[in-house]
Amino acid sequence: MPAVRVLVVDDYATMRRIIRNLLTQIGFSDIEEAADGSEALTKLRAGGFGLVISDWNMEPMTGLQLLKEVRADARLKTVPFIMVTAESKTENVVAAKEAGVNNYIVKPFNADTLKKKIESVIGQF
Amino acid sequence: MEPNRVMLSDSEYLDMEEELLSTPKGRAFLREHANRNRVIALDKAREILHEMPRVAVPNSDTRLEVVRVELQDMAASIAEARRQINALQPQDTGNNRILAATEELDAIVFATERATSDILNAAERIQTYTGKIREASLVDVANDIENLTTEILIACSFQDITGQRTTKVVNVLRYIEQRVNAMVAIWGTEQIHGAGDPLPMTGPSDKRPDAHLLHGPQLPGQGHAQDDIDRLMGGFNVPVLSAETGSAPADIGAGSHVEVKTAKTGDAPLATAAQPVPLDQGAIDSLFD
Repeated sequence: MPAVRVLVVDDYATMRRIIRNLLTQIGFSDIEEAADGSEALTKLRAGGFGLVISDWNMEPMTGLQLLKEVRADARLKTVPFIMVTAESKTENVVAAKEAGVNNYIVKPFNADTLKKKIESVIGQF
Repeated sequence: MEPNRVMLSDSEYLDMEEELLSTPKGRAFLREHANRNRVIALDKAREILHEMPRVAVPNSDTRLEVVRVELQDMAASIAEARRQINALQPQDTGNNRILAATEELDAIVFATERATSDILNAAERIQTYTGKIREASLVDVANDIENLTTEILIACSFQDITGQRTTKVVNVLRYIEQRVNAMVAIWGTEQIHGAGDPLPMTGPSDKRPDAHLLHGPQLPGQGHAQDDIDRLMGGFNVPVLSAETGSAPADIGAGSHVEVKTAKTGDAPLATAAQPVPLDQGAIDSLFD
């Protein structure tokens, strides 16, 4: 069981619930949630997170803005960050990659995809 | 009126008139008196007409001026109405908002239908396992699982309701689109000259810095699937979809020795695209600069 605290960020409670259930199936047990980038940033700065799984289209702070804030913070810049979003254009992937995202999952996705992307970021477990 | 003026009654007037008419001199006097009174009346009428203000009597020129002004106002109102109707139909018909909205709603119906089917399939498969559990005498467990799957099946009926509601909205939008197109056809908006610029078709303002990147879920064939996103993340090029001809090309590496071709409308979909060519290390490293 991976000993990593995961922060799930999405403005839809249903999606947070789905991702939480999938993470539980994969083997994660230390999971917290945030409904937007601002709340996520506050929780991240409290410390202890080893992985962020975030949506993009949120208000007031988007997932891309959250990613940029994380990468600009000396204490958070190395935290693995996976974007899970419905944004699927080339410019989105390029923008996220240039902002420092570790991996990018397009919705809808399945448990196997989520597991493989997490493993590619934090290593196999 | 004279202070000592004598008044004649009708009978006295008629008696005197009869007496004058009975003699030649009397009749000549009456003729001369009538002629002299007629001249005085005409002179008096001319004097009154000359003294009357011209504007008191509307003439044909004034009435025409009023009609002209009214017609000008009506023409200005019609031009404004046509400008408003022109603004309802964006120049780029490919970006018709009503059509886009109906396509989005159709996509919702399709997606919920597909998801519901998946849920039902999973619930039915679970029910087959309950049969096996029942055979192993774990009847209570089997019953609980069956009850839960039944709840899932019943909950999936939401798709029928949402589908009906969505279809109603789609029909309303299509009706509105038809009426708008009919108005545009009637007014002939493409012939508007000098009616001023169309009203700006601006939606709600989004002040988020990356608002220009927020396109939302794409319709089938208009967004990248996970495999192509994996290639982009891995530093490989992928053909730009025909829906992205206005977007930044996937030239994701300065110094790359391979240029990404921009797909033209009608190009082969991603499934039959050419084998992606990897970038060199310098191009990949530039992504992280």
